[in-house]
Amino acid sequence: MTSSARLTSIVLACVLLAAFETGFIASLPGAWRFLPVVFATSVYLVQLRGWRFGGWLLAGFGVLLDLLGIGALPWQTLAYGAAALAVYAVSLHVFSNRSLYGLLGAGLAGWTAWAAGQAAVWGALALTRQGAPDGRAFLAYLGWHLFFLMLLLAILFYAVPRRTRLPVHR
Amino acid sequence: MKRAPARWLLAALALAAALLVPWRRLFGALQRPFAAAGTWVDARAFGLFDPATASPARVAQLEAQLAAAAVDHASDQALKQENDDLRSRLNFVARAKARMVSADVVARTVGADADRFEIDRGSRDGLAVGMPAVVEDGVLAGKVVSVSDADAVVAAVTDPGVRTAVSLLNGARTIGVATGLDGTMMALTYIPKDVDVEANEIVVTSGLEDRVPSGLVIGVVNAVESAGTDPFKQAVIQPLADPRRVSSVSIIVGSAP
Repeated sequence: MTSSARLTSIVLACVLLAAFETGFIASLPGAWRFLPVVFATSVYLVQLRGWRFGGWLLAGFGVLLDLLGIGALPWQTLAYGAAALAVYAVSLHVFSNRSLYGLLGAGLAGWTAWAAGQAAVWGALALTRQGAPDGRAFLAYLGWHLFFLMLLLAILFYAVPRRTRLPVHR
Repeated sequence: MKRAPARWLLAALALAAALLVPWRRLFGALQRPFAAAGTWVDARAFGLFDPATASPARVAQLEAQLAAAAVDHASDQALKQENDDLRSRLNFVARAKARMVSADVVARTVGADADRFEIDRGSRDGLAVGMPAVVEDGVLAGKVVSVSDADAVVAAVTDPGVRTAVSLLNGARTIGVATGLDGTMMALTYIPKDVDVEANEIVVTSGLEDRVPSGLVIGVVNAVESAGTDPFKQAVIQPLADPRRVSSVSIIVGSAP
């Protein structure tokens, strides 16, 4: 496969994943609609596969939510961008790319940055009385997001064989 | 050495495509089957993942449906349902003499409780901010809050940021502005204490709002609350449309000539 064909397939896969999360996952009942498929995939690619472009997938998802206007809060680019930076930084300087511990640690770091960004926007909306979501619902959303993120990362760690070759370059 | 030019070429092509190709429409077309599948799962999983809203009768009904329905039968049923839905909406069009644009839901809010969804129609189809989105035979589901060329975002009437001019079908024809509460209910505030408002009264649009005709059904009064010294009381409204189980809506874009 040529490098441009690889890149094209990667970009198409990212677009498909984003459509899957905003279309299918977001329509599911109860807490299932909080499954962070794009987030988990990005963390997995950056931390375990050393693929830096995974960070762009995460930041790009935030941009997409803002462009389409379907984030529960505005300024999703900020939160997802911060998460991408945090995942990239810890994968580079803190954790090795071999352990589940490292994968979950990178996920937690990314989630913390993302949650801080979300909380900042939520706080600003609440202070200016611009229709911020209910506080309890917001906290529940953050909690479910973390739970499902850890779950998905663990599943990815064990389910995807480490020898699987991805069509990407480090 | 060969990779770098290929990447730049691809990036340039992607940029050109983003500027020239109607990507929102293409992305919407990609999202649509996913959203339909998710809505289908939600409709069939009612109560299984959310015990607070489950009723034994509903679960029994779903089990009976699951046992009876083969895949092709379910498909036929979905088509029939869609047909009935479209027919009822046409009835509303005939009755209200409204000009409508049908739209499919292609994505939903990612995040906490704001109930918003993206539809595959935009300003090119005559949509504008503030236009009402209705389901079935004239039940108000939400209002258009943002619009682009190819698509638009609808906020459900229960969204905390949405305010709707309403009227109660009681003797006094009480009017007011209902606001979304927590994504599931609405509140009609500042009702004078001497006005008679009771549970189960029907709430409709008052027509005092730009672009929203009168008489669209919103829901029923669920409870009436009042504090001891407060000169006003508040009615909690249960909406009839459930935005999470809607896969297509009609946008009222104006009245027929």
